Amino acid sequence: MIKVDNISFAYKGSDAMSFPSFALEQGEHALVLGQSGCGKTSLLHLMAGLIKPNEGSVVIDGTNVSKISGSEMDRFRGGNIGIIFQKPHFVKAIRVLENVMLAQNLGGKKKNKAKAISILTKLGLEHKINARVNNLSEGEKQRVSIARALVNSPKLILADEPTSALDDENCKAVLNLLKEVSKESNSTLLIVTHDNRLKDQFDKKIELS
Amino acid sequence: MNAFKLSWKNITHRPWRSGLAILLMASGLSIVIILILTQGQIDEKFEKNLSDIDLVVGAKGSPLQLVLSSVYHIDNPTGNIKEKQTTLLKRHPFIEKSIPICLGDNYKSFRIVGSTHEYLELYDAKVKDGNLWEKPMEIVVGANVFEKFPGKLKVGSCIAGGHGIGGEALEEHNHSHDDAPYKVVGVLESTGTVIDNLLICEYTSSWIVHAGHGGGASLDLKMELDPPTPDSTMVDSNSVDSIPAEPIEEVIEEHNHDVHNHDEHNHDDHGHDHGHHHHHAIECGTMNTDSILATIPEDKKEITAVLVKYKNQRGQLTIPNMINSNSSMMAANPSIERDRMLKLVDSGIQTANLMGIFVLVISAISVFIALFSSLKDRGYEIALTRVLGARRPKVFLMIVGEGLILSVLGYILALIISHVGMWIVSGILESNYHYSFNAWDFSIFEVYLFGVALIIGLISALIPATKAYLTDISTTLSK
Repeated sequence: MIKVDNISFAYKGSDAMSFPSFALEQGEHALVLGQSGCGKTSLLHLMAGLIKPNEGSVVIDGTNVSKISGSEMDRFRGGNIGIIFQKPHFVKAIRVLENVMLAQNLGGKKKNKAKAISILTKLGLEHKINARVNNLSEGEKQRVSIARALVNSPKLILADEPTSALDDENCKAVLNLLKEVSKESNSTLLIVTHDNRLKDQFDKKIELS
Repeated sequence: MNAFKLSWKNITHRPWRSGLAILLMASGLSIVIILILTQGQIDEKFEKNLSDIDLVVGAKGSPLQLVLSSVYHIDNPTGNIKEKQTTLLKRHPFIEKSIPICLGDNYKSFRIVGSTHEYLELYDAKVKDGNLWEKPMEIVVGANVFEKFPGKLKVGSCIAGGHGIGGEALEEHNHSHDDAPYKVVGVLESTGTVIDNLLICEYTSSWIVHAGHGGGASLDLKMELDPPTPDSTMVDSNSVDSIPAEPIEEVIEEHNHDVHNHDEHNHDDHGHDHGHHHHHAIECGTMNTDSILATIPEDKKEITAVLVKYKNQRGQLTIPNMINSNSSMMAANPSIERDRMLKLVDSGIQTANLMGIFVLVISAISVFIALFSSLKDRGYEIALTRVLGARRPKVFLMIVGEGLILSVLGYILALIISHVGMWIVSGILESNYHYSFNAWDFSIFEVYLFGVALIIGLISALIPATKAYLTDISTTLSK
């Protein structure tokens, strides 16, 4: 479903980083492990099409995201990839539910309030749907960002250090949620982390050095 | 959640910053709107009120003052002239109309103008109710004056004029001609001209008013002893023996102004407690005006000015010169004086206009700052919307949308501020000069100004929007 083939990338004025090749099937869950600064986030951005590799290719569901244009990529990403960031960010001017539904709108999907609410409910946030995002706890924010990533039932879910800011209990809860909901929508789940607490939870691991 | 709604939410999310931008935009725009409306209405008023008057002849003094007093009814008259001096104007072959104007009295601060029917024809004034006067001491009432005193100026009412011209009637000393009341015989339709704020009667009425009691005689005497200097205002408007104007009911009932009981005058207190007043008000309309007029000597027959309309171009060439060099009177060209005054007004308006534009520039900067600084906090949000699938043009439009929303709100607020402001200023002008603006007149320029507002919003949003457009998602998210 996703195939990462021999990619390398260089930030301006830095040495090129090269990444191992790997492939994941639809619905498969995997972990990308590595210490800080080894290019985990860069790999995630490459897979999400936020940056283009200098060499090699990333193919998602038959689309070579390394080749398509910027605006095609934006559209493709909006519709097919759900991304969860290390630090959950929101559009602060709008409420929790609106933030989740914003993903539907910008991802080119039909407005579906019921679906947004049901996902938030599943994540235990039904009483927070009209809350301001600034008034949420860290754990709640992370759950909202998961809801936002999942609301379009993406084929691929990319999570960048989703648990690093959370305590053990929340870490476990968030991880279970991620696994559970991606299983339900048969999404491919790829978590990029240096969090050793997650190590034993996944069979498939890609180590960066 | 469409782009417009998101723009809107982003504006309301930062109420203070957005509010400031809107307020500044509104201030700039409303200054400009007020100026446009004021200028338009001043020009129109001055044009309309001028009517077909080619020349104003009056006592020597400032020509501008003569025109303002006799045509626009704003300033004090320059003085009086003898009616017999003006007979040559009536007979002159180059003159089509010469209309006498007699000023000096008021009804509760509204000017009573003595003239002829021709004066009303100048402004196409039509009688709405009643008739025009047929003899002296009958009076017709302008539309605004009629409305100002509901029920008091109906046809058939008796009113007493106060001494002094309109604008100063609020001052303490005002003399009442309560023994020579006017009879209201007609109410005029609204004309949109100065006529609406006047009460008009036959010009000989003022001679009767002043001859009917001792005050007139003393007034004339005073004038002879103390001839008007070129810049003197109406001699008697501040005369020491005048007393405050009083509401008509009291005036008629109290009726204490009589040459024989001057000593009884109580200058300080005109309350209801004057127990000793005579009740001998003369009924209006019963006065034998002809016999009174017959007793007035020729050289006591004075008028304030004559409005002249030429028969042909030759009048223009000969008459002003003839009057100014060969008589003790002065001829003033009202168009020239009006232009002179409008020029003064215009330069003031120009200055204020510059100020408005300056405020608009400031408002553009404030919209820019509001957007730019909010964007600084929102860099991550912009990147986020891109990650969620928004393409660059959409992000650009969202920011431009915010600029446009701010400017539209500023424009709407400006409309409210400027028209309510005009309404307030109009009220002040009305009470001070009986000159009013129509605050709810809209000008086509206001529509153009909407375009200007949009352009300001657009321009000030351009840089922030471009910045948002160029946001690099990856770097922003990695921060």
